[in-house]
Amino acid sequence: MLIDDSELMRRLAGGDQQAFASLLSRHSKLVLNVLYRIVLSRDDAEDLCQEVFERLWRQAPQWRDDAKLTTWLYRVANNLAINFRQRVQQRYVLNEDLLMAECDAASVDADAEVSMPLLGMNDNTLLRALASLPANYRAVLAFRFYRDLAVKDIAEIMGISAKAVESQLGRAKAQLKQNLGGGE
Amino acid sequence: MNIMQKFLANTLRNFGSNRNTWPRWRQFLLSICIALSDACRQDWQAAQRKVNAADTALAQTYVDGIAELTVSSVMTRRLHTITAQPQCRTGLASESGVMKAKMPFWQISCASAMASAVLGVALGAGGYVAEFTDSDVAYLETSMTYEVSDWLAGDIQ
Repeated sequence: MLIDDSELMRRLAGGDQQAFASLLSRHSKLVLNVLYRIVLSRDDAEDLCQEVFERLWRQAPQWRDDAKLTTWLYRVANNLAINFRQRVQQRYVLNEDLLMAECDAASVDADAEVSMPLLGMNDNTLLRALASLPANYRAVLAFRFYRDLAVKDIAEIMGISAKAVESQLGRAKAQLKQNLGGGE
Repeated sequence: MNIMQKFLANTLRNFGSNRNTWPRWRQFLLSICIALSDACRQDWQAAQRKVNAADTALAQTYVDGIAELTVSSVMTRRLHTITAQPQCRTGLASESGVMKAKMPFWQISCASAMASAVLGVALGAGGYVAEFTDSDVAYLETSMTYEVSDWLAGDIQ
């Protein structure tokens, strides 16, 4: 018999490791793939996926019965991924500052893509096109295209209005088409 | 091409096919144009079909273009070690909106007020069902006087 997520969360709140294993087998792949589509790196996606489930385990005793587990998982994954990308960008900018100090500033292109660490990762055209999008655009595309979620569900996950989601989705699609060479 | 069709073509060119991202007055005018002009309605439907086809193609490219990851055995082991950590049994969870054990102040106030009211009604209603062992018949002693001199005299002795 298939036990639903709510029941598993009730068991997890009591420290049931079997319930946690069931939730892992049910959701870890989806969370990993959503994260991968936002951070575009398998290693980073795995680290973040572990962090998502660590939070789930730690915070299970305070679980609210009316909350939907997938929404919570996607929300945490989205927040972690976007914060992660911002940290990576800051780190890259800091490194760039160091480089600029050591080298001739004029020879360094200050407008280099912040997603440079991703470029050596995969030659896939789509991944390259996605890498130049902001992280929140990649997130909205992942939820819409990969998970096929409705706009209102995406809005709940991302903590923004449905209108903002539509707007971001429109811009993300236009920019992705342009990056893929399709234009508008 | 009538003026309404020109307006629609201009708006589609400048703002795209998603009417939700248009300025409000243009959204309003679109509703009027569609209602009044068949040609305009057909242009709008054609634009929507074109967008839907493009979106479907883009979604398919997206789905096909990124490999579906599987959770490796190493990753699975990593995930299963999480249960070695202690669970957070006190305090509040950090993710806002989903895990909230905290009750807002106004809810606490309302809950206290309602609890007081219910307690008052329960105590009051208790009188109807209580069993009294003492007789509820009272007698008035009319032979008594207010003369206390004998009693005072006896007390002094």
